[in-house]
Amino acid sequence: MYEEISKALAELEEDLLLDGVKNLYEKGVPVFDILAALQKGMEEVGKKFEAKEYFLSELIMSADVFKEATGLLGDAFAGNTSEMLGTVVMGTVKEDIHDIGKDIVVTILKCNGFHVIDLGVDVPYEKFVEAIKEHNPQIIGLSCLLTSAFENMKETIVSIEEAGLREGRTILIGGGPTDQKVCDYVRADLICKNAQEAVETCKKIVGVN
Amino acid sequence: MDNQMLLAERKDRIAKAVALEKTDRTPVVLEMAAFSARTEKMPIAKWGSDSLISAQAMINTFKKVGGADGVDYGSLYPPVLSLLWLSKVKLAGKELPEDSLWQVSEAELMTKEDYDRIIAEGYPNWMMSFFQEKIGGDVFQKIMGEMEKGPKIQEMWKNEGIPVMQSGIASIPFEYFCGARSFAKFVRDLYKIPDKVQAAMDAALPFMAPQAIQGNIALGNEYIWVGGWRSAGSMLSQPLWDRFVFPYFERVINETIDAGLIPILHFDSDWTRDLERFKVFPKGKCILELDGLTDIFKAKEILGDTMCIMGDVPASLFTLGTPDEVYKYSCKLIDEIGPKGFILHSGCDIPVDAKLENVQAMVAAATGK
Repeated sequence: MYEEISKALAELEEDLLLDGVKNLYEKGVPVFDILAALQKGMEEVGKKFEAKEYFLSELIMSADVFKEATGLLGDAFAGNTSEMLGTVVMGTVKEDIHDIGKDIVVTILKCNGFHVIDLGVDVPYEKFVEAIKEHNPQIIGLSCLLTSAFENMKETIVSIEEAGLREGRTILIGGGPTDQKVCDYVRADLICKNAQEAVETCKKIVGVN
Repeated sequence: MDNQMLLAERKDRIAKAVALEKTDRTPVVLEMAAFSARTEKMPIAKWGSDSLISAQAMINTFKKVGGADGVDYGSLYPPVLSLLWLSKVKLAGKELPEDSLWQVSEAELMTKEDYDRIIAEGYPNWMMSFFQEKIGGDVFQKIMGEMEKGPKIQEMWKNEGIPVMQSGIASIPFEYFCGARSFAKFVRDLYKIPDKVQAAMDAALPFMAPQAIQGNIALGNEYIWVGGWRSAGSMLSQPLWDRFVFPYFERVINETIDAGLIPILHFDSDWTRDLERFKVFPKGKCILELDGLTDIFKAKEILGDTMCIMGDVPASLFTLGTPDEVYKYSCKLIDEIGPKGFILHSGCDIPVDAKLENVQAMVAAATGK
């Protein structure tokens, strides 16, 4: 049954998946076993993305279906962070209001087992610093779509360093115009070119895979 | 050489590249908007307040850069982006500080019920009422007012001997619906109510190209932008792309060619997977303009015998690179994509904070000066 759930999610078979999850939940199967099967399904989605069988449209749909399935699990799933793979603080940097790409990455990371603190868009430097102090993430994700936001991306990282919060964490960047040159300029650790790459990178950072 | 001779020479150089014929040197075309505000040391709020102001700033910048062969467009009034994205646009001096770049504020302005309205009311009627209700009738009026300045702006460029390639963009229903619904919601629609989305797209399709075609012809342009950004293959699986994207581009592109214009396929994001499909268009009648995310070398390999390739010096190189790095990349493009059927160009717009000397380096790679 677990395998059927994983497969239904990987194939984006929504009705089949929801029936299966409902069935197991009503039988009293532990929520985290069901969740593990769902996350295995998300891993399959990731593999299909890597194999260029799936594209961004399917990542979005898989997250949507995943969300509906976990919605059937009631409060047992919501809010529990102890079983998460790790914590990520993420936001679009100051003076950039673009959220589409960042939102997709947040959603996909959540579906893959990460606790994600989404700070939104146009995030001031100090808000990143406060969130890092509060949530102690292993990973910080900075997004931008405007080349004019590179400076603010750089300054965000300077602020994190000046607050003594960089050590032991990995800073990732992403967004339309970012590339290795931008990564070097803003002194981030790594660049992620798409949502799936962000998932794979975050998993490597926290030692999963 | 007087400006009218210069204009003819530049137009001829571009036309030969488009026709995949031999040119005296690789043409280089500038696509610039807010970059010209920065080079003119003008706040973006002022630059974007009037098409005549942005046009003059662009002409001045063109001269400062020196030696290019033309521009993609000759002015920009940023609220016009609302018409392209069917979204609100945040503007400098209004929602944003005086010298900030405008930003499209993508939100779910269009609902699922709008598909029914498009089918029932027809796309033009729906679009007008949608724009009035969700974006603002005042914005529409201002855009129309700015469009009336088109002939004057064409004259300004012509007098300087600089070809303006086009002044109006056509696209496919996917792009408008996606902007108005917001990307994630629209993708769900493609999965959950595909037949309804397709029916609305089919209802909208006949209205995609004619207005932009007429506008460009009326202004004496020989080219027209046909734009795609969210409909790139990297965004969509093959079955979705085959159903909701290509058939619509095929019709719009053919309509522009039939009208005697050369479509500039202004394709942002990564189109590499589907380049092969564009071989169906007649030889030497299209330009493929890439932004750095599509593999331009692959594009040359696949489409080099069919259409002229234009691109793709990356935004980050203009902003963070050195003139030497820009020059080397531009020379690589000229050597490997050219000499025939290639126009050197930035990857999409030259970014607002590009260094002037980097833009000059791109042009120098083509002109040898």
